[in-house]
Amino acid sequence: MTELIDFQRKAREKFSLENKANSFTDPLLFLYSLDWDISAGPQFSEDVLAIMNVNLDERGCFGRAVKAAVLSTELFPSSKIFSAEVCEDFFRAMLINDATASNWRDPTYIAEILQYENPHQVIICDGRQFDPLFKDLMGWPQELKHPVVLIQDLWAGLHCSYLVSEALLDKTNNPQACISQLYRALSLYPSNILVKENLAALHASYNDFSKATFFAREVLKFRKDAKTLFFLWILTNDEAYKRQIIAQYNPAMFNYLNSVL
Amino acid sequence: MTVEDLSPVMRQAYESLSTVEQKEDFLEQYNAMRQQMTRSAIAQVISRNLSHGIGKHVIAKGN
Repeated sequence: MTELIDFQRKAREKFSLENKANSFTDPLLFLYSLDWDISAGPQFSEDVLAIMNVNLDERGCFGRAVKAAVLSTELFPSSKIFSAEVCEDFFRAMLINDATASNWRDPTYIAEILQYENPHQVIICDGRQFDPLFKDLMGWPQELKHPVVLIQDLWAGLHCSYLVSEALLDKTNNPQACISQLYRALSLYPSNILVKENLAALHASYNDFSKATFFAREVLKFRKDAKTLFFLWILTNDEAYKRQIIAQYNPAMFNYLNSVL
Repeated sequence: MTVEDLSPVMRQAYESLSTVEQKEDFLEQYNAMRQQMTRSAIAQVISRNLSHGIGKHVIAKGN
């Protein structure tokens, strides 16, 4: 398990700038002035993502968040910088609020909503959110924000995400090591959502449905998430979860999940 | 899973069967289907780590 101090060293080795001079006084404007590598194609597989994240690859939101953390703390030491897990995503809310009957008949529209419910991490600079995806969408990204985020200590939040990816590298060949590391991450960072989500999934894959249900319910306390509702419907056979999907989204969302999962 | 664990809809389907053999087959098949669905759903939920791109529907709304 990579300790916090080693993770921080790795992050700084990768992203520190030799020349720290810049003309910005606002870390958010500085970060938005940079070019960010945003993927627009198919999502990466879990295996690939875990490797990308432990390599702090900027093609993933984790690598971008770590880079933003290093740069903002080095160049703007007096700013208050935090990390945050997105609980309700701006793009998800936009798609659901604007959905027409025609949209709900379009499986690509539903798949895109689900994409924005995937775990996501952003950086908070002096109370304002930095998400490079906002830059791709509009000319004034500093004005945008995800409606609900769970704010964490900057390096604690990032370290926990790193530990989850590190654990997932062991999932196939050494599942016991994987689950042990997830529990160690949970003990260090008990409020983190991502670690609970992965514990839910891992316990379910070993047919420990009571623990899987417990952690999935924990995730739902914080994040709006149709897949977790569906997951709980299957695990518990409780029709209330199905009703929640239909009420919070549309019957088409349930039908879509039922057909593809 | 036993008959007591069935959802109302599945319970109704179960009750409509006339023979013990049919009911046993029903439960067996339902359990197998449920297990398969569970594993399939798990595979999807499990494959979620921090990664976020941007899709065509949002891009269309932003422009």
